[in-house]
Amino acid sequence: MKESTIVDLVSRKLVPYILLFGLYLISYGHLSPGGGFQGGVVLSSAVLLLCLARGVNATRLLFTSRTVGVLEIAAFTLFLVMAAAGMAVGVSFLGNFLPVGRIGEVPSAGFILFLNLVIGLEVGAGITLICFALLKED
Amino acid sequence: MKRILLWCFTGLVLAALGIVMLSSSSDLLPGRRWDPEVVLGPGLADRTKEHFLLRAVEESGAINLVSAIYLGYRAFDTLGETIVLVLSVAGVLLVSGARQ
Repeated sequence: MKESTIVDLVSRKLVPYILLFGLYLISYGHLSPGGGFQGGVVLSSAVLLLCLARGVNATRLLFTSRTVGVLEIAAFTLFLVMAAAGMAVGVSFLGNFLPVGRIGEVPSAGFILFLNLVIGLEVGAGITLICFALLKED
Repeated sequence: MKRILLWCFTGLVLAALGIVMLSSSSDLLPGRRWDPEVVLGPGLADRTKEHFLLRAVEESGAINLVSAIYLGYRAFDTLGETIVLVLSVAGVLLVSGARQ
């Protein structure tokens, strides 16, 4: 495969900003359009861009499938644990027991912000794993 | 044999967790009828809309009402969605043979 300098350079410059945009979507999910699912997909799209531009094998050295898999399962487990912690504290399953805070600021909305972060990590890791499984280099 | 026992144990733990989850919200228990029009009165849709518009921000703390609903009022639904995602990832990895 012939390598293109433009694709190589642009993709490598673009990936950090796409990751940053994904994190922005996740962490502002309770204030503006966006949220865990959308931000997670944007996160994984950065990894997918690296896969398409630099090759899957090179990308898997940076994001090893073990790390991504552990991240996926850890985020999901954290979701379940925090959901069950609501019962232990005294509100219902998945009830909001964290302080709501001042409305309109980024660290507010207690449980919703936390769930956005966890779901964002989980979705990003999951879609990345699917891309790794489906993309293979000869 | 050991593997079958492990699966049975996992199933039992999951079933117990499910029962605890269901019973923690008493409306989901079997034998209890939940008729919204009877319990909450007529005009439920309008009043639900009004409630979300007027009070959802202060109740959940999120300005984005979509987030307030799908992570606050209907977080159970989101839990199901994430389970579907985890299972689909596991299925793709299994079918494509991409074991570690």
